[in-house]
Amino acid sequence: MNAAVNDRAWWIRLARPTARLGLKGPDAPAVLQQAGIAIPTHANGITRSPASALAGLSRCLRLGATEFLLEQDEGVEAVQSLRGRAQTAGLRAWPVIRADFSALLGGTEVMMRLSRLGSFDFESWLAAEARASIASRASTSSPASATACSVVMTLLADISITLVIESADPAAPQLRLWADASFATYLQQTLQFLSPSTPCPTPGVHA
Amino acid sequence: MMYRLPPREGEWINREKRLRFDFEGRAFEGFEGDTLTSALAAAGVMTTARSFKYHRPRSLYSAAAHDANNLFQAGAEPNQRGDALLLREGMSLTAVNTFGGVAGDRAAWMKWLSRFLPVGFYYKTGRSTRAFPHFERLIRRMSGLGRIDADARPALRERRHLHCDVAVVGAGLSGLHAALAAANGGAARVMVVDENTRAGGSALHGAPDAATARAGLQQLTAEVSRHPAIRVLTGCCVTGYYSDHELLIAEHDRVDGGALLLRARAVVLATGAIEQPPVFRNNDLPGVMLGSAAQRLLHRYAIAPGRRVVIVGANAQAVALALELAASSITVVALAMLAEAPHAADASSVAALRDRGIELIEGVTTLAATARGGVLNAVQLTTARVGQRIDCDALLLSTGWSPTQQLALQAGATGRYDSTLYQHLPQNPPAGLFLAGRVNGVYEAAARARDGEVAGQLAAAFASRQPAPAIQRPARAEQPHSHPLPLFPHPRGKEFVDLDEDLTLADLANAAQEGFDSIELLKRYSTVGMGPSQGKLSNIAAARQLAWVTGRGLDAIGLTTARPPYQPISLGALAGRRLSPLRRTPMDDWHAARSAQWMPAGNWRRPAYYRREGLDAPACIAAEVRTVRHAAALIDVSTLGKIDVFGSDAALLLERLYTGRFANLAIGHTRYALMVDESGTVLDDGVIARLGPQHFYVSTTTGNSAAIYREMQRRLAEWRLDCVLHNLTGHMGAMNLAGPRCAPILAACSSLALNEAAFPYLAARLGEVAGVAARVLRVGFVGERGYEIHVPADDALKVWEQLMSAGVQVGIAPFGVEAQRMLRLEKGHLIIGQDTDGITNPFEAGLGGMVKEDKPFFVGQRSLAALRRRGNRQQLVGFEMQAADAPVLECHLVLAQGQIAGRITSVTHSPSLERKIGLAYVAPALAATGTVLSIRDDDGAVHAARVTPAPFYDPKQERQRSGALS
Repeated sequence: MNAAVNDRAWWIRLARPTARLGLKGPDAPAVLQQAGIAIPTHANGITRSPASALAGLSRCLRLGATEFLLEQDEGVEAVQSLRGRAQTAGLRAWPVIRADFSALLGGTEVMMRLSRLGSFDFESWLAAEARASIASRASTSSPASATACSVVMTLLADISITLVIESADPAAPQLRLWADASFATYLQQTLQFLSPSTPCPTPGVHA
Repeated sequence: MMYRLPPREGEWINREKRLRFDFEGRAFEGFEGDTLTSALAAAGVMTTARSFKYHRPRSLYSAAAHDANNLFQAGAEPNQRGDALLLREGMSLTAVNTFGGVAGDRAAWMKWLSRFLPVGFYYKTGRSTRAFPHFERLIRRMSGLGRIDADARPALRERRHLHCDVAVVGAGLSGLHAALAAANGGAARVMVVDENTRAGGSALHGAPDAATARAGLQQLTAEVSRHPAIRVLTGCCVTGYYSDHELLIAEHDRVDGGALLLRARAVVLATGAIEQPPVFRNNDLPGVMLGSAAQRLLHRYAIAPGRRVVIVGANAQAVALALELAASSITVVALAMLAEAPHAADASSVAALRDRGIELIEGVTTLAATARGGVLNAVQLTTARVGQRIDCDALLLSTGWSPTQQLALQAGATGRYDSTLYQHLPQNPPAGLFLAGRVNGVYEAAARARDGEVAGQLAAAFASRQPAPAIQRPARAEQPHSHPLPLFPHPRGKEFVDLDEDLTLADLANAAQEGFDSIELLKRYSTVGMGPSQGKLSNIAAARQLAWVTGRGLDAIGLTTARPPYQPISLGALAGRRLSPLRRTPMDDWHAARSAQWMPAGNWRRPAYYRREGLDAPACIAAEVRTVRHAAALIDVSTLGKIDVFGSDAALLLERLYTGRFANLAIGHTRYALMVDESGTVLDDGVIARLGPQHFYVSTTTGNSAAIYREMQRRLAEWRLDCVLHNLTGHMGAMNLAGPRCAPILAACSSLALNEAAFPYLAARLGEVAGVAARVLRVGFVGERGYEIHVPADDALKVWEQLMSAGVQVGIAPFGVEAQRMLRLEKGHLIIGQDTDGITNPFEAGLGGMVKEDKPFFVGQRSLAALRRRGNRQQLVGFEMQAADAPVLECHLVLAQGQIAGRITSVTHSPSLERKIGLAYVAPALAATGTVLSIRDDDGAVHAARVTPAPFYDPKQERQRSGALS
C-alpha cells in the first residue's frame, strides 16, 4: 500500500511507531503516573513532550477517563515496561492489543480537504489549537500542561478515526490520524482520491 | 421577440468570450456569463419547453428558477434548470417532456383532451381496477421529465461540510449589510450564500428604488469581499434548513455541482421576495413573463423582453419598470393597472409615462392573452369603461410579491397572512434565526439596509452567546406591494395557476367543490405546488382561489407545509462521493495473490474460494472441502467479532448478556454462546473463552460484531458493572487450522502441547505460534479437529504464512467461505442470519439446550420462558433430497396440502456425503425424522425430501476429537 500523495497543499505519509499499547481500566491513570508519565488531565487529550514527561514514550493519548493509547517511535522498552507494570496482580488496569492504522496528513489544504469526508469543524479546531499553542509557549506552567492538546474522535469517510494536530502552523498544518487497521486500504485510497492529481474514483472501486 | 441590447453598464456577460451551444439540434452562440435561458432568449428562441400535461408551448417566465418552464436535458443530465445553469462551451441541450422536439411535439394533441383530464383524474381513473393498469401504463409513458441514461458514468459530485458563526442567506442589500454587521459585531466566521452568480440581489435591478439601492452597492460589495471574516459563496442555493441551523446548499450553476452542508451558530435569512403572477387566460404563453424577469434580462444579460411590450401592474414596481424599459429604448406600448391595485401612479409618474409614449390604462377588470403560432400576440383587457386589444410580443406582469419564506418555514417559523400588505409574512422564527429585508416585509431600500444591519448584529450576539442588544428594528412596509386578488377567470378557461402541473382556476374550484377544501387536501388532490418549482408561483394563487371559492379569509386558508428542498438538487449531489467502507483482513493481499474470489461478509471482503487452474467454481469448492476432510486447510476468520472482557464483573456481564452459563467456565476453556434480545429472538452466537479469572475473550459473528460491542457497552453502562471492554476485531487477525492432519502443522510452529490431555477439545490456550503471542482455541465448526489461532493483526500474515509452509508436506491449502459453509452444513451447524431470521427463537432453531433458564437473570429470559410454554410454531430440521439433482435452493418453500408449511434456509450438495442436504424450518407436524417434505422450486415443480437428523456427517462427533498428532 502506498500512501504517497505529496504536494504542498496536501500530503499523506504512513506513521509506524515501533511499539504501541492500549491501557484500560480504573487503575490505568495511576499506573501511568507511577511510571512517570504526565498523563493528560482530561479525556481527549494528548501528551507528547517533553521526553522527561513521557518515560520513553513518544505520545500518550487519553481516549477516555480510563483509556489510553501509548506509542513509542523508537525502541520498545518503554511500552514493554508499562505492559509489565499493568500486569501486576491486583491492579485494575489491562494492557490491550492495538494494531491501528496511523498516518500523518498535512498541507495547506488539509483541513479543507478533510471537510469533504467528515462533518467535523476542522478549520476552527486548527485555529483553536494554534491559539492554544501560542498561549502555551507564552506560559511558564508545568511541562506536561505546556503540551496538552486535544484529541478528536470523529467520523471520516464514514469510519471512526482519531486525530491530533501535530503542527497548528496555518502555513503548514500537520495531523496524525489513527483508524482501525482493517480500513487501512480503504482510508488510504479515499484520502488519495482527494488529491487533485488523482483521477476520480469509479463506482465500486472500493468493493 | 427577445433580443440582445448593446452593452450595458454592470451587465454580467463577457462579450469578449463567445460560447457555442446547440438546442434541439440548432446551433447558437451566447456569451460567458449567460445562463441557458438568457442565451436562448438573446437568440430570440421563444418556445423552449412544453408543459407537463397538455404539452403547451412554454418559455422564460421568471428568469430566476422560480418556475419550471426551462428544464433541459444536457447530455446525460436530465432536468437542468436553464435559469440557474451557466452556459458552457459545446453544451448540447434538448427540451424535456416532448415527443419529437419542442417545435413539433407530437403530444401537443393532449390539449384537446383537457376536458377528459379533470382535476384528480389519477384517482378517478383508479376506481376501475380493470382499467387502471391500462391508464397507469399510459400515464407512465406520457409523463416524467427528462431522460435517465442508465449507462452514463456519473460525475463525481463533492459534498463538503462547512461551519460558521453566522450564515447569511441572500447577498442582496439586506444580506450584505447583515454580513458586515455580524462580522463587525464579533462573528469570526460569516458565510454569505447567494443563488446568483454575483452578489447584489434585487438591488442590482429591482425597481422602484433600484437607484437608491444601487447607490453604494459597489462599495458595500467590495467592503464585504475584503472583510477577512466574511466569505461569499455565489452560485449556491440554500435548499434545505435542518435542525441546529444546518443548511443544505446546492452548487446549482453548473451541471456537476455538488452539495455543501453548512452548520451555523446563527442564521440571517435575507432571501427577498418572489414575484407572484396574476392568473388569466393564456397567462402561460411564450412572451408572458414576470416584470422581475424582464429586469433580470435587462440588467444582467442586456436582453430586451420584446419589441412591443405591455405591462400589467398593480404596484409601484410596475410603473418604475415601464419607465426603466423605456429609458433603455425598449418600446412599452401600455401600462395597464389592475382595478383595486394598491398603488396608483402619481402625477409625476403619469407625466413621465406620457412623455415616453406609454399609454396608462387604469382600473383593468378583465385580462386575457391571445396567441398566434403558439406565442403571445396580444392582450385583451377591459376596464369599467371600455374593452380593448393591444398587440404586443411581451406581456410583463408586476402585480405582487410573496416573501421567500420557505427556508424560514422549514426552520420552524410560521406563515401569517397580513391583510394590510396582502401577503404572507413569516412569524416566530426559532432562536438563532433572524429575518431581514423583503422576506421580513421591509421593502424600501434604506430600511432594508438597516434591517440587515440589525439582523446581523442580533445574529452575531446570538452566535457568541451574548445577550441580544436592544436595537430598534425598522418598521415593515405600510403600503401593500401586492394586489389582493389578481385572479381573472375566463369563460373559456386556460387560466393557469400552476404552470408545472397545468392546473387552472377551474381545476381548483372543482377540487374544492368535490370536498378537497383545505389547502393540504387541495394540494394532494390537485397536485398544485407539487411540481419541480414546488409552488413558488402557484401556492399563493391557489390559496387565493380557495379563499375565493370557499368564502374564507386567507388567514384561515393558511399555506401548505414547506419541506426541503426549496430548489431541486440532484441525487448525485446529495450522495456525494460513493463511500463504501470496506474492511480487509491482514491476509488480504495473500488471498488476492492466490486468486481468491471475493464475497462480501458484513463490511468485509472474504475469499469465497480460491480459483484453481482448469476447475470451475463448484469443483474448486469441492476440492477445498476434501482437503479439510482428508488433510488440513487454513481459513482466514479475522472477520469474526473479537471482544476482550476484563474485570471482577466480567462473568456476571456475560451471564446476563448470553443465555448460557459462564460464571462456572474454567480458565482455559471455551463454551458456545448464544445471545437473544428481550423478545427471545436469536441475535448472535459465538464462542467465549476464559483466559483468566477476570478475563474473557468473546467472539461474535462477522456481521454483528459492531452491534454486539455497542450492545455490550450499553448494557455495561446500564448495569454499572465493574468491567472493561475492548473491541479487538480490527486489532486481531484470526485463522482456523482444520483437518485430520492439522495438529502436526501447529506443532511445527508452536511449543504448545497438543495432546488430548493438555489441549482437549473446546480448550483455550495462550502460547506462541510462529513466535507470536497467540490465543489458540480448539473448536470444531467444520467438523474436524481444528485450532482457531488469534494473533495481533500486525503479525497475522507472518503466522499464516508459516502455517502454510509447515503444512506443505500434508498438502495444506487455504479454503474459503463457500467450503466452510458446506462443511458446517454437513455438521448441521447453523449460521445466525441465514438459518435464523428476525423472529427465530432458540427452541425453534434447535438451540434450546443453550438456554439456561434457571439463571437469576439474562436478557430475554422471561420471553423465552413464555415461548417454551407456548411451544414451537416451526422447527429447524435437517433434510436430504431424494433426487440429488433437484434444483432446490435456499428460500424455496416447503408445501403441505397445497399450503406453505416451511422454507429452506440452507441447502447444498455435500461432497463428503455425495448427497444433497439442507436445513429447513417446517411446521412441527412435519419435523419428525423420516417425514417426506414437498419442496417447490422456482418453476413450480415439487421435489421430495426426507427429514434427516443432523449432523449429517460424523453424527457421533468423533472427528473433532480425533486426528493425527504427528
